[in-house]
Amino acid sequence: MGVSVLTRRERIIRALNHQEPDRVPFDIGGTAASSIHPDVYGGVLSLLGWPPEAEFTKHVTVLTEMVTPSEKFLDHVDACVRKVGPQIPRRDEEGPGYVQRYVDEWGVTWARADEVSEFADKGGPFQRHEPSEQELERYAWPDISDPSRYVGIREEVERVRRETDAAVVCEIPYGIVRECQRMRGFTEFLEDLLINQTYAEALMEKVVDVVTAIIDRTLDEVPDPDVCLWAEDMGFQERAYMRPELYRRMVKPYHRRLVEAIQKRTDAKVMVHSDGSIRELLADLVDIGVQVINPVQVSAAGMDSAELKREFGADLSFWGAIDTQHVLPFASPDEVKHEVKVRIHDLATGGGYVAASGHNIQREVPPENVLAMIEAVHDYGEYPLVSQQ
Amino acid sequence: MEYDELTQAVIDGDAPRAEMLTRQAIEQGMNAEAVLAYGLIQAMSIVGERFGTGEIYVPEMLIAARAMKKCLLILKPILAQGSHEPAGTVVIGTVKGDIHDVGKNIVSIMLEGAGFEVHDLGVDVTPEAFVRAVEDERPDIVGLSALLTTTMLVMRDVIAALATAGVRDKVKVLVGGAPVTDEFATEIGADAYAPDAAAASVTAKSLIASAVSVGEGDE
Repeated sequence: MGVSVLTRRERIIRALNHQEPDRVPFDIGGTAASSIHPDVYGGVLSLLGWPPEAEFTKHVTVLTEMVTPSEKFLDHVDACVRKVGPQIPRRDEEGPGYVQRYVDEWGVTWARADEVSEFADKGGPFQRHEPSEQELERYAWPDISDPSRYVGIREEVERVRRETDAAVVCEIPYGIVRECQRMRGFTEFLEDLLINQTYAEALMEKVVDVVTAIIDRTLDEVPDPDVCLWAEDMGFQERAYMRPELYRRMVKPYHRRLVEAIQKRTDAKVMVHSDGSIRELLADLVDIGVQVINPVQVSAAGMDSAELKREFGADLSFWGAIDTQHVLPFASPDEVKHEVKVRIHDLATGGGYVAASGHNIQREVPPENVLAMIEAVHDYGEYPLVSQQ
Repeated sequence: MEYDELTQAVIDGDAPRAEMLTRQAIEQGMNAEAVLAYGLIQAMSIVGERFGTGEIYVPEMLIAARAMKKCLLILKPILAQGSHEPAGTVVIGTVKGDIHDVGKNIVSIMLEGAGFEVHDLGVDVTPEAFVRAVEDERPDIVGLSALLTTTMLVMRDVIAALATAGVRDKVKVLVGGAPVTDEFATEIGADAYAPDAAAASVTAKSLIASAVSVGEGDE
């Protein structure tokens, strides 16, 4: 039987339609949680015997100092997606020769330890205030019409469609719980969900209004994305941020509105990002229309890849899953290959899996392990899978 | 006032009621030390257990701790007049290079709930700063936190710095954070690892107990 030749975009679409493509699609650099640290990227290029790429596009997302690899590299490693999406406006940048501290459009302060570290949020506008709905009314919410937010998106989509055969992920870099926690304080907002419920709802209402408006405006620029990704965070290492009942009662209605804003505009697959242990929330996410989860943090409690596939594989596709907490940084290249083999075995039968690191590839990951991951996806990723033969 | 009522109010995270009951207890001339032990710390110990079994989640734990703290503010001036001793002293911080503090803050809340005096050094704390804090505060326990695989490796440097300064055997080192495991804790020579905030407060108590029994054995 002849091997069908699919474009990378078709490979992604088939996999996310729960069909088996020619091989398991691979992503590196295609989402804000599957990128690679510049030092490691440099190391990988050197292992390949390639010259350094001076023109690294450092995309310091709100969180990490990561690079979008060059097209040459992405093509070489068979990376199947490219991401596009709105810029996150910043102000009040400061630091000793590099940006160490800034304030984002929501009024949240971000800081990092040094030039090569991640940013973390260090305080929001409503933190330590008495909960006040009047304050929410008066607050200067992000200006969704600010054109600088959408600069270059359309051109990038056109470039990807013209110059590559990859799928387009439209990344909406916002969630609801996450934005509320950043503005109100991580623990304060979790407390509000129980003891200041009217206030918590008013805050989520404001946030979802902004986020859905940005989704709408962004999708004007990206008329036909293949995947639309939004970024939440709802999992600790050991369990979800909140019990499913509380999620259902307080948060789910706002998540539903966010997903509907996407569905109203596009048939793209809806993907949500959340680190950590979120298994107990997955049925509700499926219920509101989520079709793909990322980054599938298999080292978190309850996130065993075989069990997830068994329980949710009919409704959900899985994007990520190659362990970044223990394997990629600390194991040997052979162990990395084994890890990839296991995830493909667990998740890729019948499609429904995009292989990628289970979060960004951090500074301490040996470049050898990145190459081992790429090789293993190639070696074990061909359909019919080894485990099916 | 019955201790059970206060305990229940704290467990429910009902701060106004818990504060009212605490004031009532003081007005009735009840011993502040006892109110703390049998009302508040007892409540947080039950909260920790229920978190451990999955009966409650972080939000419920947080509102309980919040109620407990408000009651503690009422008791503190009275406790300060007596001979009240905390359950132990903890110096805690997120290690150098890492400025994530969600986990560390929740651990601090639970340690305070368990009656510990907590000195929070914040985030991006150098090994030298941990050593200084150990010399200044003479804590029973040093708590190290990291979210990133990059920065958890710095925990090893902190333990080495404590050894170099000659204070390693004066403290117990408790480590935690998403990528940290029991094996890693053992490998770097920490005394204990805790997977979550409730476990951290239980582990901290047992570290104090073991330190006391070792100390007694030496005599």
